[in-house]
Amino acid sequence: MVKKLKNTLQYNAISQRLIPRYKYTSLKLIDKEKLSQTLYLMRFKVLENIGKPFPPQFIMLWVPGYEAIPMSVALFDEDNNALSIVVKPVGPTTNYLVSLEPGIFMGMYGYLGKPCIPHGKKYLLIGGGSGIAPIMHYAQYISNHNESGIIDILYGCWKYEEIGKIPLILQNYCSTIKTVCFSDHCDYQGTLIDALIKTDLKLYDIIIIAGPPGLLENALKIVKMDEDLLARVFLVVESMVKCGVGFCGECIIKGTNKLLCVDGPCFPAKELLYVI
Amino acid sequence: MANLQIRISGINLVHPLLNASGILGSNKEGVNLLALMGFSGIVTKTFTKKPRKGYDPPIIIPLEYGFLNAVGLANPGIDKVKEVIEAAHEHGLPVIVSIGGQNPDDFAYLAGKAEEAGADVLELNMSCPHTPGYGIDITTTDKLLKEIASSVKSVVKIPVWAKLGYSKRLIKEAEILLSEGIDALVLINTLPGMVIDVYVGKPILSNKYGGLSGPAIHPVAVYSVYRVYQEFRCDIIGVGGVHDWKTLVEMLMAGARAVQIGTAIISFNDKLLVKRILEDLLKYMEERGFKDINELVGYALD
Ligand SMILES: Cc1cc2nc3c(=O)[nH]c(=O)nc-3n(C[C@H](O)[C@H](O)[C@H](O)COP(=O)(O)OP(=O)(O)OC[C@H]3O[C@@H](n4cnc5c(N)ncnc54)[C@H](O)[C@@H]3O)c2cc1C
Ligand SMILES: Cc1cc2nc3c(=O)[nH]c(=O)nc-3n(C[C@H](O)[C@H](O)[C@H](O)COP(=O)(O)O)c2cc1C
Ligand code: FES
Repeated sequence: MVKKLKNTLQYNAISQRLIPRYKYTSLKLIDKEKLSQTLYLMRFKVLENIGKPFPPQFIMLWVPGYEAIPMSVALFDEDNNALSIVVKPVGPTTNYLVSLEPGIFMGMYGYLGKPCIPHGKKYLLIGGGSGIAPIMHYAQYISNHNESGIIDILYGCWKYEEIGKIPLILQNYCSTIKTVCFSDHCDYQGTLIDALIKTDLKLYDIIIIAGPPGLLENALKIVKMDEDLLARVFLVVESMVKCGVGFCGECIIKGTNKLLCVDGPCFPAKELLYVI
Repeated sequence: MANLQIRISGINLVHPLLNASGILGSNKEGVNLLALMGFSGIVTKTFTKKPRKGYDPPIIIPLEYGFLNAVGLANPGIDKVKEVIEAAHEHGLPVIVSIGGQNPDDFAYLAGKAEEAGADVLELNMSCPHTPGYGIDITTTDKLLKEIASSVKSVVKIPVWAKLGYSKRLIKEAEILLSEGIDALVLINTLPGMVIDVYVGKPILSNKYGGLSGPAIHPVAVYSVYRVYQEFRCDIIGVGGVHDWKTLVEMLMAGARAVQIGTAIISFNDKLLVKRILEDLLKYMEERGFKDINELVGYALD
């Protein structure tokens, strides 16, 4: 009996504590910068220690008086526990958000989604529109953690005015950055897909693409013919996110058993072949 | 290996772990996810007569000791319950359809619809703490409780479970429901709560207040199960903070015959959670010499 009790007590030790892997914290807006005609960079002090984010994790940002909305982490400053997001105002919450001035408080919970950091030496990171946010985080993270890694970035928008200061920020974290738009001022003219076709994708170990559904869909069409290439492509997907933690079922990736907010937002392209 | 099969209100379950209502369970994709996690039956999200959008986000706040949620009974409406039931049946699992109405007639209507769509069991949500006109709001008097229970029992043949929250009226409510022929009680729903962001100076949830779940309410749930079992020796499904073998065994020893898991699914996001809990339960039973899970039910009572 004594022996039995002892076993049970030992076993007791591995009873798990039920602490969510993400937390709520207040935030203080400490800086806001208009990056381009359509994008704003907003920097927040994270008032509690909730750990650090890994790309391409996101937060549910609570804008008091409005909603809580999903936002990708764009940059993280570990020393100051400060995070930056890139916002494209599209509706009531995002428009109000970008109108706020430093000093204001809001809330968030995170960091949500699954870290997805494919290993390689040569990376091609592709971002369209506000999809540049997770791409920034990838560039910052990889340049800090993989010193020998080479990072090339393609950033695309419709108009030159949307490019703004993004290349300036990103140049700190990459080897090259090329812009894509319909103006002669960009490095490539046309869409990101036009630029992709002109790029020798075989040069890269890892290709990560973030942006609107049309971009991901067309990129998949290009890479799916080549199995070897397909295996090196990762897509950062956006969908409706309501709870962000896996119970509401809003973000299910149709045709799969995956939830964007738990299993994503980054997926190997081959997992999305018959889905996107 | 010890026996984990249980029979509750005439339904056989291969083991005692079910999901709690409100976690996935409102569409077929969600049911597939729950089935893959290994639950022995699927409890649906609470279905209402008409689709409900629910509240705007934030609908949940993670806390050190659980979650506070106010989803507002978002669901696609009872006309969509069939596809959820069929998805669970495709996995060979029994389906417990949770229904929420605003009066006895609503409940009878929803119960009839759910049975017709193939539900194996009904769970009457009499305890949602944050949706005005539903849950705790419609069980404030003995008369209403009695009428809801009797109207549902008079229209369906399948077993009917009733889900209650903790209140000072718990024993009285249980007595009324059991005397109206309710087959089992699900104890407990979330407890009302509020969290204020002290920098913003406002409650965080869009609904301001919500329901507290997880470790914070586990002792309340164990107490509720114990007290009701002590009084009535009825079939009970324990729910509240169950997340490992130990919290499960506690519920069983208090008198629960099965348990439901909510918060732990979303806290851990561990697809092997059910498997792990059952493996650990079997080890515990072996160590302590229990051969059958039924021996654990009510073990802690004098
Ligand atoms: C994981 C993830 C990361 C995101 N990261 C960023 C980012 O870094 N920067 C950025 O500017 N935007 C990002 N978004 C999109 C952003 O969340 C929406 O633009 C925002 O919720 C719109 O809110 P609104 O009230 O301003 O506009 P609304 O009027 O509510 O909507 C405007 C548009 O945004 C879409 N949308 C609305 N709500 C959501 C939601 N909850 N989830 C997804 N899309 C929604 C709608 O379909 C609509 O097309 C991200 C979305 C997801 C899912
Ligand atoms: C996000 C969320 C949604 C819920 N939705 C419902 C619901 O629709 N109907 C219901 O009866 N209970 C609902 N509940 C309550 C749970 O079913 C359960 O009773 C409670 O969470 C306690 O269990 P737990 O600690 O394991 O989460 C919900 C709980 C949570 C956390
Ligand atoms: S947003 Fe709710 S499950 Fe993903």
